[in-house]
Amino acid sequence: MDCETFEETLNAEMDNLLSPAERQELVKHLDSCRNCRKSAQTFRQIKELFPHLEQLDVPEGFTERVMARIRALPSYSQKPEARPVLGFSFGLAMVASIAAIFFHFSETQVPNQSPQLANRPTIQEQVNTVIKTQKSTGSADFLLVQAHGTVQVLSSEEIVWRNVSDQMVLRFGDKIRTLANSKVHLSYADETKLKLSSNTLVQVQSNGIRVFQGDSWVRVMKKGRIFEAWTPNLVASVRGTIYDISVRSHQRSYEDFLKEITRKNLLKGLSPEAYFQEFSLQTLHEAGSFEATLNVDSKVRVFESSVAVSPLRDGIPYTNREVILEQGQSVRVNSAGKEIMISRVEPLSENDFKYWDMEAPSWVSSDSTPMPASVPVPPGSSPRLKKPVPQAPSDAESKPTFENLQEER
Amino acid sequence: MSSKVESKSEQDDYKIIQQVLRGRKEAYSELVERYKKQVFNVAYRMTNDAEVAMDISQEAFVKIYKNLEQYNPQYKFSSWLLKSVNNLCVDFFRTRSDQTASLDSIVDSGAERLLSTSNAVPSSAEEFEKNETRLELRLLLKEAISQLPLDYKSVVVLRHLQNLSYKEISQILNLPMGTIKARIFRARKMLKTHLERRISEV
Repeated sequence: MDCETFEETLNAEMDNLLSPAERQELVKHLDSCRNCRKSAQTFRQIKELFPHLEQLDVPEGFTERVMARIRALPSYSQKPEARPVLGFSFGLAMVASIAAIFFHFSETQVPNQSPQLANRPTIQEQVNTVIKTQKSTGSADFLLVQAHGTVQVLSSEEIVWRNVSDQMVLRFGDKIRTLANSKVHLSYADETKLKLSSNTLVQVQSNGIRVFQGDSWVRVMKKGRIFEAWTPNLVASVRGTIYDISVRSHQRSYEDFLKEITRKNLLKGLSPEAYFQEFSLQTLHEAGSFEATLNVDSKVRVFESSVAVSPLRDGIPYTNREVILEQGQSVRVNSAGKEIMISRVEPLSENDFKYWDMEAPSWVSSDSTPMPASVPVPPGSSPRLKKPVPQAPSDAESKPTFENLQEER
Repeated sequence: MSSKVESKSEQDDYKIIQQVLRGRKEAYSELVERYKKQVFNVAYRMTNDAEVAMDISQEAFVKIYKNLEQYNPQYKFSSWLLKSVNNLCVDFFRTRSDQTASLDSIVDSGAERLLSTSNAVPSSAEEFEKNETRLELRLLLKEAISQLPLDYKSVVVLRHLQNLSYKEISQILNLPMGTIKARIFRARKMLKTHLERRISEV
């Protein structure tokens, strides 16, 4: 053996691939060649050092974070036959859904189009679609009143978002979303009205809406109508006569998502249409379940009458933690991973009314209180819920409730 | 190699996967628990960045879940996972502007010259065990790994850190055994060159 072939033979030796005869020959050469001996020593060092390289501990909460994302995906048993292909990387960033609910009760008729909504600077009149009052009732469960910009529907039987049109028959279970600079007004058969601002995704159901993200507004006309708004971490039920509901998202806009996805998919040579579809599905899947969505911040504001708010974990309301908000009060529910916290009940400010272009009643303070700062989420992964100030039940009771629910899932 | 032990856990893996496919999502957490350390450490060695490794690891588990129906029980679940990790690492480096040192810059750093410089290398394994420079060497090896081009880094991490066979590595990387063998050889040489150069600097 010469020094030329030595390294290759040594390499095979490192993987225990040499026959005894070959091995002997290698040893013979090592005995006679000083350079190769040194070389062999270094190779051996490398091999021996590897198992001693530090192994990092996996950061705490890793499994929980993965599982939270898994829970937000459809279960295999629930998946439709034609499962959408999601074979692309969504990127490394986690999708966090942040939503806030604002309830608003009004005795007076609110104009169909809130001027505040229309004047909001983000909604420029960059209109791709304008649809006015959908006439045909047909077998539709609810109707399109008006659409501006890009408004899309994902029917429960389909996997592709389609732009709304005035011929469209909308059914309960459909998901509606608006992209940037877009909005839509919808109406139930019983005159319950729903408005979505830009960058909003909701699922319309007969007795309420599921708000995935964004900013929406509901008014129920019929007395005794039960309407519930579900966000990933709370359910707000109203048993009133007239009310408005809005869900506002602090999440990254669809544009930002789109930019990110565009960049990633251009690398893969996908057409803009193709990645848009993939992106849509991905977003839907990421936000497709209310169970264990990460980092959710929901807020409920009540302007008149009252609303019952229950925190949710894995889609199950904690009814024993229910907060009844009276008019002029708001509450937030903040969840990150396993932790759920409920804020103190805060009074509304004049700005809360201004937001919906309402005149603040005299009992409202004129302080221009900004949106309350985010409720800090304590470290650690054990579930916990802080009791709201006006409520009496003890913390000790609430902990097992959370843990029990967690185990049941 | 602990192939006997692994074959038992492979069966368990498949049972868990079947549960998940029947709709028991929560069973997946067992797989995450089982492989998170391996996945995270491979990603960490490949990227040399714990935060990125964390993101990649999460992404790998989520991706695998989404494609779980396509799992082929002929292969180890861990191989499949590591394949996903490797692909994500490749994506990560592709989108990053500052690439790792090029192959040439490492190979051309004068292996021949460095081979003849000799010091600090103990003459037997026993001495080496006792040697106080071992910690230092470990750091040097870490550094050397981090500077390998990705193609070489992946083979060396899978071979030496994960103790996988050529066959397993060839499955994970989707490359012929010959290529894997050649890459491992080349990677070891690069590591050696780096170590020798750094030791001679000390």
